[in-house]
Amino acid sequence: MSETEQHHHNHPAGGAANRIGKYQIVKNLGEGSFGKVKLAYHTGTGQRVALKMINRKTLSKSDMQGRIEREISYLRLLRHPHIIKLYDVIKSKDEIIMVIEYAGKELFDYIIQHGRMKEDEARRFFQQIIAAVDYCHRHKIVHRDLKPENLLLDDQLNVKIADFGLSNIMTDGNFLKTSCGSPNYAAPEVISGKLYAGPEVDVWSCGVILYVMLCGRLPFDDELIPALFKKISNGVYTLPHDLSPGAKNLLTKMLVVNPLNRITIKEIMEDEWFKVGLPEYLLNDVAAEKKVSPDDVSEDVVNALAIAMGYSREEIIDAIKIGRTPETEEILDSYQLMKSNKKLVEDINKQDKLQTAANDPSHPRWRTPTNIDYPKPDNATNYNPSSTIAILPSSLPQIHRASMVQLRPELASIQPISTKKSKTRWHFGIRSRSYPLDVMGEIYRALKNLGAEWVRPSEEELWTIKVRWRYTVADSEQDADLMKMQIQLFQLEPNNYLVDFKFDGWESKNPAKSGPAEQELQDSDEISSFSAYPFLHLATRLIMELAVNSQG
Amino acid sequence: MQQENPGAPSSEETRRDQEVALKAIRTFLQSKNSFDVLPVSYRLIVFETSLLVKRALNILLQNSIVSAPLWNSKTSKFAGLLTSTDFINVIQYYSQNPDQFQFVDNLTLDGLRDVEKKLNVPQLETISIHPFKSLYEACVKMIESSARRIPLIDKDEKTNREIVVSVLTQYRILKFVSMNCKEAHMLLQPLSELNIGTTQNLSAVRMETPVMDVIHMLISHSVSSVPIVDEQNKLVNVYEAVDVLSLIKGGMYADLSLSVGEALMKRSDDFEGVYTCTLKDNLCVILETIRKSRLHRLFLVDDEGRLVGVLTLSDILKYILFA
Repeated sequence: MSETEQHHHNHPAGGAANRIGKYQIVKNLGEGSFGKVKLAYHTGTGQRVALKMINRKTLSKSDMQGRIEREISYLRLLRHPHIIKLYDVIKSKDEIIMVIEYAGKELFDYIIQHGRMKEDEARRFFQQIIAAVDYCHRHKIVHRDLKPENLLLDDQLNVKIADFGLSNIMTDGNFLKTSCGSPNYAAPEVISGKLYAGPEVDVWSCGVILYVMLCGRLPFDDELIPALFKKISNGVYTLPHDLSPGAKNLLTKMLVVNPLNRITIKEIMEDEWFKVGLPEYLLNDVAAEKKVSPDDVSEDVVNALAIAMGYSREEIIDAIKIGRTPETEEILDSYQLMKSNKKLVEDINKQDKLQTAANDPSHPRWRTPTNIDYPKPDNATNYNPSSTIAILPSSLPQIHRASMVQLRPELASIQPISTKKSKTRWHFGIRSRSYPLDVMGEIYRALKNLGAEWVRPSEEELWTIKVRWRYTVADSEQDADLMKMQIQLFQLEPNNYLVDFKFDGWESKNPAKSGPAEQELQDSDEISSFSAYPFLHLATRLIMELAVNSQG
Repeated sequence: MQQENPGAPSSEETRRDQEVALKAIRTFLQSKNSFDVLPVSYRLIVFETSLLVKRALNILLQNSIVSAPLWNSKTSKFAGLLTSTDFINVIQYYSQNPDQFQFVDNLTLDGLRDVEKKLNVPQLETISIHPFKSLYEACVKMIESSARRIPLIDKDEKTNREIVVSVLTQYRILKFVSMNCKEAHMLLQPLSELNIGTTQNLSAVRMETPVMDVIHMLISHSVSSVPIVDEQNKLVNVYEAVDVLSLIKGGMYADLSLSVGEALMKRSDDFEGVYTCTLKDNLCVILETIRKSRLHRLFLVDDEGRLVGVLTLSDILKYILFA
């Protein structure tokens, strides 16, 4: 079975090959940091979309899955003309599939084809990028991984930023490792492993992107990763002489090593060079996102939110009544997004049929279970400026190996130990393809060799053996106890049998400890708490005896 | 919740909050027992003492674990905890008796005791605690015996036999505190004011140091890790006691001639990296990090990344219990 086939086998809406739900897959677009990306079209409308297959294994620890799913549904509420839209989310056991807006070109292919840009042209792209980043920051989402692969262009040469918010759903350690793939755009505090990378890291990356557009090359570059890290950490780069003073000024303020001294997105938006020819629609309407007051609760919005995020109606209304507290923040943010989202949908995306279909409350597909025990809104993605805790980049195995091999190439032969899952296969009981009466005969012979006693089998229970067995313990003064065990032969399929072993309690030889009458009363509840090792020990001896016999 | 003026001494209020928080966490640890920490279902790998040491090593690595309780079938008793220290002892024994290769290859967990006797080193960890005892008691027991984990041993009521319930680690306890004690957010005094961790006489090695020397340091200093620095004393990496598992996998005791830098190239790609912090950090942010990431110690560095000290989970527990 090829890999792709197996892939689809696992999908909930399997069936037709190369089809996931309502989407027909056309081809592979590539491999992202999370998994495969495929081009597909909606079988109803013909709209082209990209499917981002997120392998659940690449996500944070399994106990965070609930949070991740909610995080993704939050992303679905984001609407901005320069952010790739998330239309839909399809979940399966192994994957989360994000159905996203398709934009065919990358900004950086454009740069490679057209070379260094005129300032006006670069500024137009830059304004779109900054407006999108600002929008997300105001909704508490930091991209943290802005780089060429994530800046796409639509047919009208508008920038569409992809993967906003996705870095938040990976563990910090993972994020750091993947970002090592293209670190040219990473801020100094990111490569130095600072855990709580805040909005300033996006400012740095935008600075690198602006530099590339204006200068046609990277500000920090080196073939060797450790040397590149050094250049970024020192923050030394050169500016071409023919740049306008306004552009130079802005770049110099963005590429500042200390995040505290770096210009903020808000300040960039007030910068004179930035503001030249800024289109009206990019001025985010901050006033529209005023406080949610209990008096003007929109039933439609509450409904939509309940469906999209899985909150109960009561939860949402309570949150609005209580006002902004750490507990209600998540709901209120989502409420505001949902509310403004509707407006945005009407304003700029009337033509987008798919999107309205995805927002249709009659499709409660993307419902997050509310009854599971969510950890409190996690602070993992919040910026904590008072912490200087970091992961030491040079200690990451990949970076350590790279720097060792750089000094002495012959060391490349030393490989990390593989952490592939256990090759040991675990079975219940033992399997046999022998004739069942022969199997029973073998078991009785083995029991006899081991000195066990058994109850004569009845007609009805021919395939069950009730055994008792003296369990001797070294340096123990008391009489050995008798352990009871049930051995049963099951038929799994024709010519395939399973011998199962079951612990059946203890029989004490010491009458003072427990009389025979009490033994009879022993029920299954009592057996549930017992030391398993003596039982496993005897079962092992029996299996070994059977193995010896079958070889002899 | 942030300190308004980092670097300045804490206000009277911050110090008072710190005291209140520590008391609350102690009360919390006294009120909870091990069963409160254990997940609803979990996996427990127990080794029979007749198992070969090299097989035990492979099973640990295959299952991404670094220790396992032992069971002696002859006596039907819990037989201690196998940890990376025991593998270090085997390495040490082999390095002193290189002619004993055959012996080391056929060594069982039972035989480990004899090796440790010959080396005159502490035997397998044998402390344990009943799961109904408070977490506070478990912490005290671990601190007293400098163990990083403690097996939970119950008794089968009927036959009085021991039951290995699970193994409780310092990490789990601190994560539990971080997840359940709101007061942890009040621990805002910077480390520089706490007299916590090791900042004096901390030995460090260089990338070129032979890994055997580093392993000897682990034993002679009774530490679980040795920092590796560059010529400017900047922290570059750390060799941990658990790294010996990947070093001797497959019985490759011949590799003991490697430098520590080379030995670390065998570290699994799953390693999440060395955590660093500065004296400006406080226990609030450290516990936050513990809640989110599995870490066993933080190295203290200055603003230039030079090694200042180390803060282990034992240090943090000791501080919480006894400060």
